[in-house]
Amino acid sequence: MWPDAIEWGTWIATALLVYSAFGFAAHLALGLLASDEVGGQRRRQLLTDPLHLFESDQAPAISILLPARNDARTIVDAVRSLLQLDYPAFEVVVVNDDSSDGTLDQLITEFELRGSKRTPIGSVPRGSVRGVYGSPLSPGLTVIDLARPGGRARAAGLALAYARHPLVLVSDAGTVLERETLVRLALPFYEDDSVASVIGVVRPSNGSVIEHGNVTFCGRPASRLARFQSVEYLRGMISQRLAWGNQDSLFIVPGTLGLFSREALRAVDGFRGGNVGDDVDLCMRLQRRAAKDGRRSVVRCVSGAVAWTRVPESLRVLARQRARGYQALAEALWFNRELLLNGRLAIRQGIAYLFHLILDLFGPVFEVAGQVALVVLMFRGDLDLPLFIIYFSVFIVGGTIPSLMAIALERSACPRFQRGSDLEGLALYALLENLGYRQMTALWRLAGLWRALWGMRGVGGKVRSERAAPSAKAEAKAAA
Amino acid sequence: MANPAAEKWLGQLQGALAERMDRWAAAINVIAGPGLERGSVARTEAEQVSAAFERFLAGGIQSDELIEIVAGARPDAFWAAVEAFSAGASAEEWRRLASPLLAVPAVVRESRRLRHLSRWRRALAARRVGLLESPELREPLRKALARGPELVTLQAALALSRLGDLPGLAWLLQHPEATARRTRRQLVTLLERFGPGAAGELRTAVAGGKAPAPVLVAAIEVLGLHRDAASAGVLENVLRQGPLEARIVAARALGRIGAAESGPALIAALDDEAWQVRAQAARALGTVRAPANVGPLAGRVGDVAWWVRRHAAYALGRHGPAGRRALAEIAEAGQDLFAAAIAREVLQQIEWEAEIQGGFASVA
Repeated sequence: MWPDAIEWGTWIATALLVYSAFGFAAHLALGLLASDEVGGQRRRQLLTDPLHLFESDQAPAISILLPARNDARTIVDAVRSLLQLDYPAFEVVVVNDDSSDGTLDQLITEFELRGSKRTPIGSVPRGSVRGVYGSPLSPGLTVIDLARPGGRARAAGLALAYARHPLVLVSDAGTVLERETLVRLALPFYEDDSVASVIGVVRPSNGSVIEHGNVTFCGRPASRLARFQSVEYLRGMISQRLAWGNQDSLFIVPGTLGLFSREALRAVDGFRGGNVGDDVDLCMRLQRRAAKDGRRSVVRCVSGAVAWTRVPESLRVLARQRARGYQALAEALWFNRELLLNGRLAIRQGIAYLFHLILDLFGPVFEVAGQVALVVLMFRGDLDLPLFIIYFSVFIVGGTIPSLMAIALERSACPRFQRGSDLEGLALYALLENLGYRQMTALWRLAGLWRALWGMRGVGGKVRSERAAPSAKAEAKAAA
Repeated sequence: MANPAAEKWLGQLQGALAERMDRWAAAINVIAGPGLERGSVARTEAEQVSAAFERFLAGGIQSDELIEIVAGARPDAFWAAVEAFSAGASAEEWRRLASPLLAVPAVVRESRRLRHLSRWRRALAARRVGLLESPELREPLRKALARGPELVTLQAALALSRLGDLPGLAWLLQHPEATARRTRRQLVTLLERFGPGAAGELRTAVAGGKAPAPVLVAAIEVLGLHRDAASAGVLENVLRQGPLEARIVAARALGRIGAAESGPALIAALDDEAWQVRAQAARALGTVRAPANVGPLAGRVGDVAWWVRRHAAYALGRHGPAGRRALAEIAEAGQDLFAAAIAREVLQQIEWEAEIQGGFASVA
């Protein structure tokens, strides 16, 4: 006998209620773990003296890779800002990814660049590089001009061949690093040889004033859309990443603020460029490798290392960004499913994988489909009103409290807001985002998931062929 | 307690509990949040303590008044001021200031914490009392150093390095297992802080050391950083027959010392089986400049390893006209494409030399 409609409504509402309560509990646990991590980082900070340490010549040198495509408006300021960072040994390698807006010309003019005979360390595919430029006036700057566009990961991979230093940071022209960010990112490498990657916290620069890499004023964005994103950034960057870092299972790294060990990159075949989300994929590959080698704490999140980026203030751009982000997550989870299925790997990473799979990836499916179904059932009279109210109460409370915890953590993890009213204002948006914004982003995320499903089928051959291609190490060996 | 094993186990349990309590306290503090007001009050107190330090040094107040003022501040604010002031004050000023501070209750409490159950608390105590650079604290710091674990040992060693405490250094070198998990960079920074006066101790340890313990490898590096010419013989010996890590660092250290007598040993190391040793030997020969180096270096510009080619070519670039001639020949011959490319890179850098800030050395 089939259950009648009202029973279906109850079943669906109960299932959604359980799912929301599970999500709430999981995010609450992440908030507590993030607090523990911030406490631990503050304790460690009391024992270190980064500035004194980095006055010596023991600071590991860093190559900053800056892929740029049609960034003529911002590239010069971005490079100047990077060259002014406080760090004893670093270089900047800009890769012009076949821009058509004069990005290269701007660099040549501003930094008086000339053709350089700099040789690559690894092998570079024939015809992929049109020219290499350097400047006697800025010895720490190298510009690589690519012959054809290939995307950010490919550009970073080619830049890596021309980079000289043992640590590598990939950034972009729209991101501004605080002056002490490199010191803070490099400190874990100084203290522990097993570290493969260290990420920092990226925050929206909308509403803030940044001069020469220094945040002279940090305030709440004027745009409402940017305020919602500020809450999301605090929740994602501070609360979740610190918590996963604490559990040694950090998978999702910001594409513009990750410092990698060159050796670790080489061990996992570096930047592949075959998929949309190379950063997440790369981080998962590092975790897989570490799990196989039995190493711990290889990917860390440092709350004091901060970079600023402008977040979209138009729905169209935000929708595209979110869809792309979720496509990246879906692809990375698919490529690295070994993290879940292979019993040899660490249990914590399996749990993290499940979290990202169930709550992050399929969350939009449950949210959109479930809420539409509940509203329809409610209007048809097939659902009890109290159950409907309980579900939405849990949904809203469960969405708001983790965000409020993240906003509270901001004061301890990386305090930048100068006015208490800015944080209070964001707290209001933590509540409001559950009433429309969250549903809207769920739709965009669904679009990303859809594209990933089609993309996997569509470009599967390409991805496979890239994986089958010889690694950079093998190519270098063959060339030698 | 009669049973030593049970006593040890109980001690470990107490330590672990104390550690956990510390960790929870830190997490609760984070959840409670520092708040804008609390943060600014702490900053103000630290500034007041710093102002009292300045007045004392200027003769505006006496020791008693100084102690009275700083005793009223909260411990965190006091130590924040000590940390900030110790970095900026001259050695003489800091000695004058540190002496009366030993009577401040916060310092007395912190000295007692060198025996705390929590290892983190002991490490923090070692770091803090070490800032005062008081000879009276040597003995408790040495005890903390020996008791460990590594976290405490490192902080106590850093504190003792401020005092130039050679017995503390000797203990570190004799107990390489106490710092086995520290990175080489950390250990180099630590050993370097003992100053050039510790070179004899380091040299003896390197000459007598057999296993490639991280602290001994760091000691080799530090001998190079101190440019200790008397160590050249010991380092050449390590370069000839030491383990891989030690050979790499010994080649680099000999390059820093730059003694012409080390040339033959470095030239011999150009044939080492490990490319890392060949690369560092080539680089070192760039500082040990002698006409006899040009031929062997030119031979290494065609090495299979990129880093050896690079360092050999740049080392030739530092050998004046003879080196440049050798580079030009390699670039023109073009038989080995990799060698020709790196030679052209170096010749261009030499061309740019006059315009580069810092000269050719800044890129070599």
